[in-house]
Parts: sequence; structure tokens; C-alpha cells
Amino acid sequence: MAGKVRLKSLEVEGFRGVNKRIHLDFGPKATVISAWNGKGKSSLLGSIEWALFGELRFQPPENRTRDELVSMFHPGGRASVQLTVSIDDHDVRVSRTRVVGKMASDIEVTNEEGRTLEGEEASNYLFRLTGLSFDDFYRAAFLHQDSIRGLLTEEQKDRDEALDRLLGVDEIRNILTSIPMRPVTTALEEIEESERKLMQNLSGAGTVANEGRDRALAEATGAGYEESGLTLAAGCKQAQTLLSDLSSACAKYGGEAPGVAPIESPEDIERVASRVKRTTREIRISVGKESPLDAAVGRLGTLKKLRAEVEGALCQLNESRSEVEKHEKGNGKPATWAREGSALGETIAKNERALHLLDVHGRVVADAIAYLEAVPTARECPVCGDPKEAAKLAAQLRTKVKKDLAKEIGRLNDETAAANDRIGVLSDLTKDRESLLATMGRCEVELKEALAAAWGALGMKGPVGDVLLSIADEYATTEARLDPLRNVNEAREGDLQELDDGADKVRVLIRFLRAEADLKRVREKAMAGEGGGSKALEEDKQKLQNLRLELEAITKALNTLATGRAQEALARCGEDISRIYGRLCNHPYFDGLKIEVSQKAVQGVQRNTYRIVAYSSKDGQRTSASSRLSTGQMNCVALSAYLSLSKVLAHNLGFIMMDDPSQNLDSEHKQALATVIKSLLPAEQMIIGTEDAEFGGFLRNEMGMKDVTWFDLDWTPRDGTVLKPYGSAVA
Amino acid sequence: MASLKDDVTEALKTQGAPEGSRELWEEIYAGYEEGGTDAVWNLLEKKVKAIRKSAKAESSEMRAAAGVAKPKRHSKKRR
Repeated sequence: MAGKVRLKSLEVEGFRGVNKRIHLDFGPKATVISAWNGKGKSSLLGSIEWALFGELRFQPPENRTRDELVSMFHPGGRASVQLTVSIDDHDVRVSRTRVVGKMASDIEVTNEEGRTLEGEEASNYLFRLTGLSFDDFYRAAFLHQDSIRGLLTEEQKDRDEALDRLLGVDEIRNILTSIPMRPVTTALEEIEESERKLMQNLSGAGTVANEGRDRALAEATGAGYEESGLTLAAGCKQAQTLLSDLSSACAKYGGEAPGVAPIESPEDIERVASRVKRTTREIRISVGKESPLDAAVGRLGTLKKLRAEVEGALCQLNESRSEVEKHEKGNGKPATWAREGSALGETIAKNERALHLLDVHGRVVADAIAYLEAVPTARECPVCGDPKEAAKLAAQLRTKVKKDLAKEIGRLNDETAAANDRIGVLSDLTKDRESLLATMGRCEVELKEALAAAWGALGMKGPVGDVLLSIADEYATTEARLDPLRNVNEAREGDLQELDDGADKVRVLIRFLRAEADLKRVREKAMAGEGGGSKALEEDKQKLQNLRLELEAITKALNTLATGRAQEALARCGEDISRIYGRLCNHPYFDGLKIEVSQKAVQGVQRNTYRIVAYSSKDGQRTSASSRLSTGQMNCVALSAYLSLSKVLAHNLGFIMMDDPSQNLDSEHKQALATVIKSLLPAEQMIIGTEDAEFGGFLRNEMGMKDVTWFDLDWTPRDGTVLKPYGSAVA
Repeated sequence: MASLKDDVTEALKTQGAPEGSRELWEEIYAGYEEGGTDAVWNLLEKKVKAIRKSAKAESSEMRAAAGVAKPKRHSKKRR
């Protein structure tokens, strides 16, 4: 699409103030829509904006739903705009509709090839067709009555970005934005910081490594090494010898023989040392399980124990026997005690019978005495019948009983008591003897048991004497074997210890080699870093620095180009802007106007920044157009910039829309504006809405009726905006 | 008007930019054409990341060298 987009026709219905359908055919050069305020000029101009972008910029905030976009009098409650534009003699039809109450509008575009596009595809097509975003449409093609000074008063950042876009350097700006200078710088700083810390660490580590090496050297010297002999080759050789000795020891003492592997590194040597340690431990454990010396020592202990047990049991038995004999000797034999006991029993029995008789006798005498005392007249003895005087007889009887009977009873009782005592003594003797015999029996059992154990241990049977003799013989024989066995043991342990010592010694060498390797490694790193960092880190740093330099060069080139292109574009309109400004403003002092572009650093990135400057051609004094001039003069500045830039902006629109451009202008300025607008024809298609009769008159006078299409508007509540015959609206 | 790519290349030549900047610019422009600003950002970030990764590996090696020589610290276990 090489040509510019121009407006061809517009058909509006139900859009804002327009209720019934209105059709306008735009003139090829200029179209003026003339009407009093509120008759629908802005609605018609806004319908073009809405058709192209689906939005209206100047909507009051309370109209968020944008329902006021649809005319409240339209019977269908629907706004529709059909805009026909032409490009390179091809028509493109844009049709947009919106139903009241709905947020979205429907768009349909029939492109120059006759293809119908809808929705997002249609919007994208329109963006490509116009080359403008909605915001830039206001900066480039639609001078709205509400934003006539927008270019002057908006934020510097927004203006810079917008002018970059409008002057076609937005691509450069985009690329500049995407060049990550900060991450490069940050990465570089990180590497430098990391390197600095590492160098500090390495410095400390060097001291520690040196100390470690000294310690290892002292240990190695203590272990009998010469410093010159502390080499890997010496360690390998030593490990080889160790391995060979281990093989011999395994063959001799029955360990698992080590395999053959090359010994070339400290790790290999360490492996050999570990193997030696493990194997010697295994041999010790294995030999310890079946040691002849331990067996002999154990046997001696067993024999000693057996002898002690047998001898002890025998001794106790002998003692208990002598006790029994001693008891017999002192107290007689049990048979004697039995006879004596039997005799004593008989005596006791005899005495008991005698006592019984005495008792009977005594009772008879007592009865007789009682009788005699009861019958004192009796003249004869009631027992024997002898004639005797009762009282006398009773006295005789009492004396007899008292004397003789008591004496006999006393004797009998004493005799019985003595017999009983003796029987008690005999009983004690029996018990003592039984106890001694029981002890002797236990000793005999113990001796038997000790003998049985000894027989089992000696493998023979025999009396005590033989057993003790046999124990003594074996003890002597075993004891004689101990020394040779001890010698064998010591020799083996010596071999194993030698191997262990060899492993320990070679480990000392390894420790030294490792300490020295650590020191060497740290020194290498530290030495590499003496120039400011390790070689690899230096290379990385260099790469980043190169990248930064390259990016800086590219950024510089892009910035130069962005400024150059903007300057080039602005230079093309430089004469126009001054000319238009001169005509429009006619300021007594600041008679010139220009747009300047320069570079400005924003967050570390250079960007174009634009200033609209009014200056005096007489003495070169300058001022910012937005700060010193009056409202009307600022309008003139804005119109100058706007109209002059239209020639150089990088969009595809070939028309300019102006809604009430003569605001705040006096008659002289209005006349000048009409002249300027005429001067822009036919390069730009002008669509002008005005309620200003004076300005309308100037336009008519300047442009005449030949090159201008005029529309007058009226408005009724029922029909909304309607077209009127030319000249009837603004007289 | 010459293309942006050629203009920048010419500007780099004129300003005596470091070697490699022209190649880098060609890469950047090709990335921009292919995937816009995101592609350019990703391209350059990838380059920076690659260098950072290499630097990190070297730093680790140096840290290991420094760490080997340091005596091990045994922290007391809390009961």
C-alpha cells in the first residue's frame, strides 16, 4: 500500500446525536461541516474515529458503559457507521455497529480485494492500513476540540514516545529497549565481586594449606622419611613392597592374598594401605580363634582347676572321716549306746511299776487311816483284822507312810530321772554321729564328681592318686610347650605389626603428598589470580566487557540513527512550521517555531526527547512554547506543529480532521488559519468541523466553492442531526 | 531510505565500533525481525547467562580449591 488513505463517504445512523441515517460524500480536497454548537459536527467526526478504532476518546467518565454512544431516539437502539475510504483508487469499506446495552461493537471490513474481514482480523487490517494506534490518531490526524494543545501539554515521556512513533523511529526505540545493558553490567559486577571474595578465600586457604603441608612434613620426618624421599614414586614403590609382604604373610598365616593392580596415584597407595590393615586384622581374628598357645594356656587352667577340685574334695572327705573316728573314740560305738539305752529303759519301766504299787499301797493306807479316824471305836485293823486301837493304829500308819513310802518314792523318781538324762545324752550322740556321717557322704559324692570330671578331662579312669599323678604329668608337659608357642605367636604378631606399621607409614607419606597437592592447587589458583582473577574468570570478564562495549557501540549507533532520522524528518517540516507559525501566530517577538530533538538518558538508556521551542529570529532568544505563550498563541503553536508535521509523519492517512480549530483565535488568526489550510491542499484531504461563522466565511473566501464540499447541519429531537441546504446553518 | 540494518552497520563502521559489534548487531536485528523485542532480549540474556554460568563453574572450582585447604569445622550436635 504505497498511497495514502483518504475518506470517500460516511453513512451514520443512531450514533450519538445522529438518529436517522445521514450520508456524506467527502470532497477530494476539503470538506467543511458547518453548524451551530450541539447540531452534530463532533458526532459525525467522532463516527469516523469510532468506525476506524471502535473507541471514542473524549467520553465523560460517568459514561463508562458508553451507552450514550447509541442515540436514545433510535428505534432499533443500534448505532451503525459505514465508512468508505480509498487507497490507490481502491475502496475499503468499514462497517461498525453496536447495540445499546452491549459493551462490544461488531466490525466488518471489506478490503481493497473485496474480501470481508471481521472482528480482530478486521481491526488488525485497519491498524496496518492506517499505520496508527488509537492514541496516535489524535496526535497525527484528528485535531480534536478538546485536545487542541495536547501535543504541547502532555507528559514529556508520552510526547517523546509518540513522536518517535510518528516520525518512524519507534523500531529503533523498541530495539534499544530490548538491549539489556543492566544485566550485562550486573553480571560483570557479580563476577568481579565473586572473584574478589574468592581471592580473599584463596589467600587464607594458602596459609592454611602451607601450615597443613608443614604439619604433614613434620609427621613424615617423625615417621623416618627424608624430605627428598617424599615423592609419589617412593610411595608407589613402598606400597608395592607392602603388597608383596602382605602376599607372603597371607601365604604364611592364611589370609586372603591381595590381587595385582597398578599403583600410580595416592588413591592407589591408600587402597593398598587399607587392604594391608584389613588383611592383618582378618589374620589376627582368624589365628586368635584356633591359637595353640591359647589352647595350652587354657589346658593348664583346666588341669589346675581339676587338681584343685579333686584335692579339695579328698581333703574334705579325710577331714570328715577323722571327725567320725574322733567321735567314736570319745563317745563309744552306737551298739554300746543301744545296749545302755535298753537297760536304762528297763530300769525306768521297773521304777514306774514300783511307783504304781507304792501308789496303790499308799491309797489303801490312806483309806485305812481315813476309816480309823472315822471310826475311832474300832478295835481291829480294817486291813489285817488284827485287834488294835483305832487311834493308835492310825498314828502308826501315818508315820509309816510318811517315812517309808516317801523315801522309796523319792529314790525311784531320782533313779528314773537319771536314766532319762542319760537316754538324752545318748540320743544327742547318735544325732551327732549321723550328721558327721552325712557330711562324710557329701564329701564322698564331691570327690566322685571331681574324679569323674578329671577322668573326662584326662581320658582315663583310676583312683584319686592316679588321677592326681596324671594331672601333674600333663600339667608339666603342657607348661613345657608354652614357651615355643609363645615364640611362634610373637613372630607372627611381629610380622603383622610390621605390615601395619608399613601401612601407617605409607599413609603418612600420602598425607604429605595430599597436603602438598592442596598447597600446589591453591597456589596455582592464587598465582593465576595475581593479575586480578583466575584465567577462566578473566576470560569471562573479558567476554562480558566485550559484550558491553559492543552493545554500547550498537546503542550509540542506534541512538545516533534515531536522532538523525528524527532530525531529518523534522528538518523536512522545519520551514513549514516556521512559515505556518509565522502566519498563524504573528508573535511580535518570538516569531519562529521549531521542534528540536536531542538525546536524553532515561534509566540508563539514551532516548530521543522532543521540545517545541519558540524563538526570536532577531536575537535568537528561545522559550518553551508551552510555558510562555497565551492560550490563543499556544493554539497557534499546536496548529503549526500539527499541520506541518502532517507532511512528515510515518503513517498512511492522507486526511486531517479538525474539530473547531479556530477556538480562542481572533479574526486575524482565523484568517491566517484559513490561508494555511488552503495552502495544505491538495496534499492533505481536510475535514473541518466549525461553528465559527467568521472562520467559515474565511474558509469560503480562501478556498471558494470549487475545491470544498460543504455540509450544513440542523438538529431536531425526533430526527437528530439532519443535512440542510448549503449556507442555511451558519450565516 | 536505507534499511535500519544497513544504517546501523554503516554507523558502527563509521564510529569505529569494536570488532564483533557488527556481527552482534546482525544477530540482534535477525532476532528482532524473527521475534520482536522479546527475541532480542532473550538472545542477549542467553549470552550473558552462558558467560555467567561459565564464571560460576570457575568460581565453584576456586571455592573448592580454597575449601580443600581449610580445616573442617565440626559443629556440636544439639541434643
